[in-house]
Amino acid sequence: MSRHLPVAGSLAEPLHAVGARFDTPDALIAAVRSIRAAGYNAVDCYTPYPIHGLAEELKAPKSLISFLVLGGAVTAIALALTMQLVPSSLIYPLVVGGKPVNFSGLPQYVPITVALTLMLGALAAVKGMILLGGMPRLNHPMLAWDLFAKDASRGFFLAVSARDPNFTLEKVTELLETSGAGDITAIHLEPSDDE
Amino acid sequence: MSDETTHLPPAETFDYKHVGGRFIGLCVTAIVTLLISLVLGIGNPQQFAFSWLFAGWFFVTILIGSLFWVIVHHATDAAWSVGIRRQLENISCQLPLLALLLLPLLFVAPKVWTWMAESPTHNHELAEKAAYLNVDFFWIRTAVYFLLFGIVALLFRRNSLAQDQDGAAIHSIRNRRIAFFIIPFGAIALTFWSFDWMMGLNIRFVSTIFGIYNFAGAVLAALCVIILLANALRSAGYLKRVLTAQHNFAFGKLLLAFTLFWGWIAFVQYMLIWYANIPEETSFYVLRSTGSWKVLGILLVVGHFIIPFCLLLFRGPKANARFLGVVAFWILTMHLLDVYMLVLPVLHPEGFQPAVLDVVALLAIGSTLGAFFLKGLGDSPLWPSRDPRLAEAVNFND
Repeated sequence: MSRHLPVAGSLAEPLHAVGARFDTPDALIAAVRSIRAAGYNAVDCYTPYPIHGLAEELKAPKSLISFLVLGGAVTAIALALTMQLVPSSLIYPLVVGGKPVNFSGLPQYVPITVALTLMLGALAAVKGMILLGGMPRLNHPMLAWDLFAKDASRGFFLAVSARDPNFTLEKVTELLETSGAGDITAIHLEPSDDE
Repeated sequence: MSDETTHLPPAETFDYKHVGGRFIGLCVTAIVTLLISLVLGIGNPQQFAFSWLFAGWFFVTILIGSLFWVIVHHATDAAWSVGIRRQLENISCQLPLLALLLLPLLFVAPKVWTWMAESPTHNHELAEKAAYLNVDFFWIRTAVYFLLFGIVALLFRRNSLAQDQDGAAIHSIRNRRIAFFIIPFGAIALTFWSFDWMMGLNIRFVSTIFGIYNFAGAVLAALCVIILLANALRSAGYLKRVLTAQHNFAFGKLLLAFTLFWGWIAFVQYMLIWYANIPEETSFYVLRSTGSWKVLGILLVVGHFIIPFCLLLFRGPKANARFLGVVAFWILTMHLLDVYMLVLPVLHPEGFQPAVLDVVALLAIGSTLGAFFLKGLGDSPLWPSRDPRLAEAVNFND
């Protein structure tokens, strides 16, 4: 702690990340760019609203959501067609309104298939978003930082994780300072309540 | 914000050096094909009537679809479409000219709308519908459609041009009011227009979704035309500042959305008629699924829905102007087939029978509209250069 950074969490616990606050989205994006350029990959941002271009600067990998939605949709099509065709065409062929029970009667099965496809696709999207965001969790190490926990909506926050192989506290602090960050803080984990 | 307004792209005006011989070519094509259609039309007035209606309705849908995009732009106070709005206005303002080009239908109408030649005293069905379906009221309605849409299109453009002069926001607000006014009346008018012109080819056929079906095709076709036009203008070096890859992406998403919309409406119309199995309604599909029409019908389902849907599903290529151009051209061709399948099976119930007049009529109306469009292209800046939302449109980030 040569620079006497403000500390959040407990000093007895390992360092989680160095956090910083920016006043504008542009400053945040510029800082992300310079930190990525310096070779740090374990960078994360916390902003009150989505910012265009930030994901590109963070080089976030393509989200899995679209595959989940496709999976949900294909499952739904298979499920809906099976549930309709197997009983009413194979097991107990039932002629309703003179409609053929074979393949040429397909139009009657389409509305349910479309509805189920939409439903499972949408569910996959929403649940996938929640799960991929790591959502059901009770705490987050960043919440050890009081400023962040209380005022996360009043600034654009950036955290460089201490797990980054290149991580050194001094260098990261220096980089953040030169990119105009405020409230640079060393965020330690909080002692667990287990004992 | 002040940064954005000081960096507004300067207005561009179309320079005719880019069209050169093509304009002359269009004029020559127009005159020659108009003459050929006159000659062929005298020889075979019935084929002429159907071909002219087919070509006419194809362009009606494109013009009305363009007007729809202008209306949506103003009604939703959109920013992203400022860059293409002037061209949409230019296209929809061809309506008076199209009305003029469709005048021949006045003389051959009973050949295409056969109910006009029948007497209600001998046709019980016609007698039941005579309060609506009589010749005088038909032409009054047709005049109302052209007047309503034509006046609105011209008003939009007039206000838009006035804004180019003084940059006052009041013109945008006036246009928004017109948009709110036209939405309900325009929806009703387009529905009845498609009832009169397309459904009227067989007065026994009824389908309440028919207007929406034609609307879906119209909106999609206009979107394809504006994508192709934007590509053409950009390849000539214009519009580069106001239409970026972000706008391409918006085009791609809208294409996918309206392909789905058309597909769903088309399916719903088919499914309900197929399921209810009432002869008056099924006759429409029976006609279009017998003989060689069936092949074209399947091509329509695959080509108008399945292929574009699969192509547009992926995120990556949608921002690519060239890819969008290819897909837009394909969908436009399929829309042409869609209109063809609405009109021509009535004339040739025995099967697909291509006629020279189909192509000639398409070329005659199309090249005349194209020539007048090109002639007017340089009269005004290529985009509303002082629109209050221009900065937002240029920096549009999808």
